[in-house]
Amino acid sequence: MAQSIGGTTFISLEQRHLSTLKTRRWKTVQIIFRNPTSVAGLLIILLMIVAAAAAPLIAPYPPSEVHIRDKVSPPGDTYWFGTDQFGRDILSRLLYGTRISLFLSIGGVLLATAIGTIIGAIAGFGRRWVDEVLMRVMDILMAFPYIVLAIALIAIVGPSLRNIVLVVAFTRIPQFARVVRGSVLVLRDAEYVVAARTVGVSEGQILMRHVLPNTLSPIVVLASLSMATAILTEASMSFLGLGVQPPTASWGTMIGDGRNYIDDGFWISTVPGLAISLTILGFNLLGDGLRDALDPRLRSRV
Amino acid sequence: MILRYVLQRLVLILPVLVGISVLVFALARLAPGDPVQVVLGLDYTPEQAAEMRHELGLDRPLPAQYVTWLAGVVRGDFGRSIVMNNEVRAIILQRLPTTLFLAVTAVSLALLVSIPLGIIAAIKKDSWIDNVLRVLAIVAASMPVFWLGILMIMLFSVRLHWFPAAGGVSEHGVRALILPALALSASFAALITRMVRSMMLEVLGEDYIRTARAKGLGSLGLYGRHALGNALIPVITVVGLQFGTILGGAVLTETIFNIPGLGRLLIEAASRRDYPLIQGVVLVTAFAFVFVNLLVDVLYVVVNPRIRYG
Repeated sequence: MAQSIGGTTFISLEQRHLSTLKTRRWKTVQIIFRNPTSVAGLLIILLMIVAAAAAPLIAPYPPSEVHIRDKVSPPGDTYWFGTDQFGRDILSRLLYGTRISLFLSIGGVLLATAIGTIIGAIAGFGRRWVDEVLMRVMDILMAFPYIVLAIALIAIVGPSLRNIVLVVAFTRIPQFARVVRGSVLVLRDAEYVVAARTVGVSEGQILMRHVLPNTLSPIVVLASLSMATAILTEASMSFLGLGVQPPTASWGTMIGDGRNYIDDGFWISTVPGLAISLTILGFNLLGDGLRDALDPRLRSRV
Repeated sequence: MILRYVLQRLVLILPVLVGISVLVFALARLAPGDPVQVVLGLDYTPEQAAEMRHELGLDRPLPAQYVTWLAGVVRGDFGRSIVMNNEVRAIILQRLPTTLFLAVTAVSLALLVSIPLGIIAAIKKDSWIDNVLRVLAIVAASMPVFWLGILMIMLFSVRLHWFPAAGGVSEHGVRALILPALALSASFAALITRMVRSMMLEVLGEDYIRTARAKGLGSLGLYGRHALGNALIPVITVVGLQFGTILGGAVLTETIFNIPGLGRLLIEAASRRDYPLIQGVVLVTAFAFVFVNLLVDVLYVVVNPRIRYG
C-alpha cells in the first residue's frame, strides 16, 4: 500500500486506514464472541482438541489393550463407556480416535484450502480461457457424489492415513476454488485494485497483497464448514472399512465394530456416533456463526 | 422454446460428460498392478505376456484405448466384472432400481415433511415451534446417516420390532425400505425445512404479498396461492444439487440395512478391487447426478417464466 507517491498526507492517510482496519478486526472478533452460535461451536471444538491432545494423559487404558474376559461389558465403574467385542476400553479408544479423526480432517481441509485457493486465484485472475478450463475441471469433479468418488479413489490407491488425507482434500478442492474465484472476480476490478494497477504495482503483487487477503472471510467460513464434511467423510470411509484400518481407533471404525452388537452392546457404536455428531455440530455452528459475523451476504454462496 | 433450452443445456453438459468419462477411465489406469498378471497368474513367459497385452489392446497408445473403451460405454458395454463373472451392465441394471427407489422415496418423504414444517416455522417465526424446529434441524444435519440408521435399527427393529432389521425388498417387501428411507431423508429434510422457512420469510416481505393482504385475502389464499409457489422455486434447485449427497448417503444406508443396491455393489467392488465394476458404478452415478440436475434446470425454467424469456 505504501507506494512512494504523496508525502506526509499519504502516510497519515495510510495510518488512519490501518487503524480503522485494526478496529474493524477487533469488532469482528467481538461479533464472533457475542454470537452464541459460534461460541457454542468454538467450545465444542475446543473440548475435542483438548481431548485429542490429552489422550495419553487421561485415557485409562492403552487404546488397543485387550481385556478378553470383559468383552462387551456395559458402561460402569471400571469402563466408563463400556468395552467392545475384544474388551477394549471404549473411552480410551474414543480419546485416541479423536486424535486420528481431527488430524486427518484438519490435514485434508488445509490441503484443500491451499490447492483450492491457488486454483481459484488463477482462474479468477488469469485469462478467460484459463478460467474456463479450470472451472470446467472443477465442474467435472463436483459431478461425482463425494463419497462415491472417495470410495473409488481409495479402492485404487489403498487405505493409508496419507491417502485418506489426500482423498478428503480432493473432494473439497472444487468448493474452495469456486468460492475464491468468485471473490477474486469481484475484486480484480475493484476501484482500489485499479488504483494500485495505475500506480504500477505488478499483477502478482496485486493478487497477493490486495486481492487474496480480502477473500479471507469466505475461505475461513468454508474451511469451518468443510471440517464438518471432512470428519463425516473420514468417519464414513473408516466405517465402510476403506479408511483407517484396525486396530487403530477412529470414530468410524468404532461404529463399524458395534454394528454386529446392536442387540447386546448398543454402547459400542452409540458412543463414537455421539462424538462424531457433536464435532460436526461444533464445526457447523462455528461456520454459521462466522458467516453471520464476517459477511452475511455469503449465505447464498457458501 | 423449452426444447431449444434443453438442447442448449445438453450441448453444455457434453464436455462435463466427456470429462467424467476421462476421469473414470484414468481411475483404472492409475491402479497399481498389471492386468496381464491378473489374467495369467504368476507363472508366464514374457512372450505370453506380450501376446496377452496385444490381445487386451494394452499395447496401444492410451488415447486409442480410451476411444475404444468409450465406444463400448456409449453402446452400454462396460466390460465384464472380474470377480462376479458377469457383464457389468447386467449387474448394474439388476441393482439400480433398488437404489433409485430408495433415493426417490427418501427425497419425497423429506419434501412431504419439510415443506409444511418450513411454512409453519416461517408463519410462527420466533415462537417455540420455530425454535424447536431450528434445534431439530441443526441436530439432524449433524448426525452421520450410517449412525442414525444404526440408532433406528436399535429402537424400531430390536426393541420395538416394528420393522425388519435387515434384508431386501425381496424378503420383506416395501416395508424393508421404510427405515432406510427415513434415515436417508433426515439431513435433507432438515436442510429443506430451513430453506423453505427463510424463503417464505423473504417472500412474505415482498410488496405483492402486502397488496394481497390489503385486498383482504385470507391466510390460506395468501400463503397457499401467492407465497408458497415463489418460495418453493429455489427448493427445486437444492433438490438437484443435493441429489448427489442422497446418492452418496444411499451407499452408507444400503450397507447398514443390508440392501442389495448400487451402493453396496460399489463397496463390494471396491473391497475386491474389481475395477471394471467400480468404473461402471461410478460412471452411472455421476451420469445420473448430471442428468437429474439437467432435469432440475428444465423444471426450473418451466415453473419460472421469468428466466425463459430473460
